[in-house]
Amino acid sequence: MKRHPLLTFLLYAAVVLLALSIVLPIAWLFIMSISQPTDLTTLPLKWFPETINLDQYKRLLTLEEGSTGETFLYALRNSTVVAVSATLISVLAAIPAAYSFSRFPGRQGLLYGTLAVYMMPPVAFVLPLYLTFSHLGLLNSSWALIIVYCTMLLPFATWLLKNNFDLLPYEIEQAAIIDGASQLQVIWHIALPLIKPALGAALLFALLMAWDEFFYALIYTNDLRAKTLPVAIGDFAAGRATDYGLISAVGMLAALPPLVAALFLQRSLVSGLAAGGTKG
Amino acid sequence: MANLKLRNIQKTYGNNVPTIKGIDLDIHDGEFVVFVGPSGCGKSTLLRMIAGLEDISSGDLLIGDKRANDIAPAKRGTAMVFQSYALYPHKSVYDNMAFGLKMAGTPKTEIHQTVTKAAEILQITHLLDRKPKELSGGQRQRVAIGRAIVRKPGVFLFDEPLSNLDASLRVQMRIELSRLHQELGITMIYVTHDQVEAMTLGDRIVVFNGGHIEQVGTPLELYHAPANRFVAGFLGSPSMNFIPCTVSRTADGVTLFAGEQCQTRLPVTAALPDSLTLGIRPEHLRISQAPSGIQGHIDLVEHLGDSVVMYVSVPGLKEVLSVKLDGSHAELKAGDPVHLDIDTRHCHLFDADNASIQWKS
Repeated sequence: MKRHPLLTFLLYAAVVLLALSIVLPIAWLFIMSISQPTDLTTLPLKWFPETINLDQYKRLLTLEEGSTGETFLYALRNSTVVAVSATLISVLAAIPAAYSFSRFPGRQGLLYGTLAVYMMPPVAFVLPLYLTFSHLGLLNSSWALIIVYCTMLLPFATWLLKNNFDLLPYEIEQAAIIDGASQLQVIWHIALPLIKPALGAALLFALLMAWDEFFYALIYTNDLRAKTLPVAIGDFAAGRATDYGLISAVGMLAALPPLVAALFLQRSLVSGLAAGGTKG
Repeated sequence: MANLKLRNIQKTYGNNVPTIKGIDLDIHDGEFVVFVGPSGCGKSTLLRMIAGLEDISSGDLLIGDKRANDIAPAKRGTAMVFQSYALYPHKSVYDNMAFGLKMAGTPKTEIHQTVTKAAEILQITHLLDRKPKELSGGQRQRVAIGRAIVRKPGVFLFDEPLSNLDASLRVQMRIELSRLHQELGITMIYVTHDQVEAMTLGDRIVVFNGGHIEQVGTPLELYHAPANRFVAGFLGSPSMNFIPCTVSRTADGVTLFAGEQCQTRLPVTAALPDSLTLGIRPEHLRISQAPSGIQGHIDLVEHLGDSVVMYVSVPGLKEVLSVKLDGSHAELKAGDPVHLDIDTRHCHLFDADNASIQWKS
């Protein structure tokens, strides 16, 4: 059937609009990051810089003591450590949890209980957790953030994976049990490969949630040892005179690791793996 | 190789009403036994209990004279083929078949030999590198069977393996399964609701109904001497006609009376109750040229080529009689009056409790 030209036009217009809404802010961030500071403050605004200025990036990629670069690179390291650890711990714990919720019903109360964490505003947890971490001597350490982020990521990952385990035909797993696989082997050899797309999605979203978290990081960290990127960016913006070029460059660099992770996980996000094992 | 003994096997779920109500059954070494029955009769549940996928609530299951109730599914020496095939979608055909051996820690070279040999038997050697989704239904089922064969089981369990296949493929696979059984000589238990599969494949058929066994016997025993009305009605297509009758004695037998236009005489000497149900298979009713005991009108005629099935309504009978004739009766059409003869040698009589009455001496 041939599509009406107007419909085609509208369809493409919608696609372009969507693409622009995603690309434009990033493009503008990039342009700001390579502009001269004067270009960004002149009126009327110069949309494209006359000379490309990479000074901001140079300032950020140095470990000189007391420099902005030092703050940024340490924050990058802290963010990576915290986000990756919290993600891995959460997803690793979520796999058996989700599987047991899916395959051994009767514990729905517990499953819904995990949602309680989401039902309260984070600010309700800040004080009790602050006191706890203070007692444990964990304030201003990556551990505090890893623990807090796990409480956020674990319920999310458990729900996401559980719903995907639910969709797997149980007979495939029973076939594996008859083939002599233990419960853990069934999860490892059969169930996990079949929910690869969901696993990729869980990893990616968990990583992004942890990477972007600001509130707890702001409260529980205060210097290079544990401060994460969102807090560091906030600090850059909070000075006497805001350096737009620098903040843009930080933004660009801070977006790179999740982007790489997304590209890496994208392949596993492609679904449709479960087709063909059973009649369908 | 293994024989199976089921001793008072029961299955009870949460509500304390048993779904399997005490099954006693002996299955001999190398036998092909078919479990048949309507949906929900417990045949699949029993099979899954034998496989170890369901717990046995009470009773004893002996595989090869060893109590197997608490043995892990993989250690029972059974292999199962599922209705849905249940292949591992992310593994190649080879890996699907090799998985069980890998789990058992079999050396690679031996796995390779075993899988290759099984693939040859099932003629799927050219498919070994493919993923299940690239296979047709029949090929998938063959892989599922292959996966079971490589484990060299003592007992092969089939859970409605052919019901997802189209009709012609089903016939072909049926023949192959029969051949496979002859070649391997393994004990096979086969669950189906398809009576043609049951009749053609089974050395013996076990008819289930409502969680218990109605009758066990060879296909022809069940066909010719059903123990009760359920078995009589379940096997055979179209199913047996049942006619409620009153009995009146005559000098040389009895007359079964079901209305002015439906009566027949049987040379019975045994004692009979005053009222009973006459069972007669469609293929044992014939058209009579002369006026006879049964007179009615044809409701509907189905020409199947090799045979003709007609449905005849008889005044006094609630249900129409189905009659199966050979294909030469092309002239029959709906609305025609018709006289029917009963082949009295093949009459079945059932008492008020639906049990079969032995009347032939």
